[in-house]
Amino acid sequence: MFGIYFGKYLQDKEVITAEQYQELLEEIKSTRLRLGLLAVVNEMMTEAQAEEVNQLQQVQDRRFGDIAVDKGYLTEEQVSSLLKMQGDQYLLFVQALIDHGYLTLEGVQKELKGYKRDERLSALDLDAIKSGDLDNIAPVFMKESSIPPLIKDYIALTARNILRFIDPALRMGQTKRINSYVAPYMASQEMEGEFNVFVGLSGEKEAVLEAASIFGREEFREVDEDSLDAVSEFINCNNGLYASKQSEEDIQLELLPPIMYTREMKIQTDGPMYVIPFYISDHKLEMVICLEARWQINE
Amino acid sequence: MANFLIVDDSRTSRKILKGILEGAGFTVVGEATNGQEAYDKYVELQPDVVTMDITMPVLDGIGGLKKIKEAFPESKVVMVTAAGQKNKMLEAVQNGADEFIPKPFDAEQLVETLKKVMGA
Repeated sequence: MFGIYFGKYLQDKEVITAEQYQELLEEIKSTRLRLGLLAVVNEMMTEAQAEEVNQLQQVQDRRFGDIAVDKGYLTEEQVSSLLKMQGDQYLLFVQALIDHGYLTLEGVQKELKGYKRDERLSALDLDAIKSGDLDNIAPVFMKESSIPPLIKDYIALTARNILRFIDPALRMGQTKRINSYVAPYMASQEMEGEFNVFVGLSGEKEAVLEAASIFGREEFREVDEDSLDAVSEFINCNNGLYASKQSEEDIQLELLPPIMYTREMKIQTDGPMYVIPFYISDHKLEMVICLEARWQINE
Repeated sequence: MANFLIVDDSRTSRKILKGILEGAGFTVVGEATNGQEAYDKYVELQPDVVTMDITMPVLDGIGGLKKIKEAFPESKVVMVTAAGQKNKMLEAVQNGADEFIPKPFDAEQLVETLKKVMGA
């Protein structure tokens, strides 16, 4: 995951080309083995157990290792050793940059300093991105001080689910507070109950179509009701997981039927609203989220 | 093999579910997009099993479940839920739901659940 962020920075600075960036990402994806596969190959779990945990991951917003430990299939120590086997993503990416001749070690260190400075990252932020752990990375992109904890939780959950169901090479952008948002199209859903939430997904056509095609398991070529329906279904599943987590704290939320806007629409609020960019295959998907403020939608 | 009625307002969901059911050798005899349509189609088609999404416009899945079960107590209705929402699941159980299928769909688990319902 470190390579996704640092690699993009290098591409933007023209230290590497777009093709070189994609090649590096593919290499990293292929060397990163899934925890379940590692556990089975090392005879720590059976294939059936790994499959059961994979299935549970689909409906619980929890890590593979945590579920496996709860089920008694792995110990904490085994999870730690498996994580070590997966490899240090930061080191793997640096090694790939050097092995391909794109940068020397000195060059990597110089660019890392530039990355930290230009992206205004603290040492802790950089460590978080180097960790490759999305739970550590997501807060780096929620620096806006007014973001309430409920929304931070939602953004982090969405990032995990985009990673899981749509793009394992997801890259997040910085969350911004806004009062209005205009989109040429949008897939959306509201939740109501102990608090009210509006969530919408829009963005670059390529990003929306890719999300729709992967989640909807068919190729969509146009942003229309059908492709937005697939994106809405992703939002629905995402919201279901969020509502499920909230219900564990006895907070009840009801999901309303998703709404698709196939023409330009504008949402504005009298309170805070946030927009978060999620880059899938380098195209921007934008999530708009509004909590407990009165919102108005015009088409 | 069993005949299914698929009820979901999402075309994507209906398509994926239909693909899984037909891949497992079942027959999908009809589709509906809300609870009222589900009831109307049930009367017309008399399927063996209904898969019913919970969150739908016009009449939601709980409403559709109630209507079908009141008129056809022997019907088999499996609720489809986006992750576990305890209150909705409880309401569905109280109104006679036979089983639950979570979204996103897992083909193997889904088919196993439906076979259990058909065998019951």
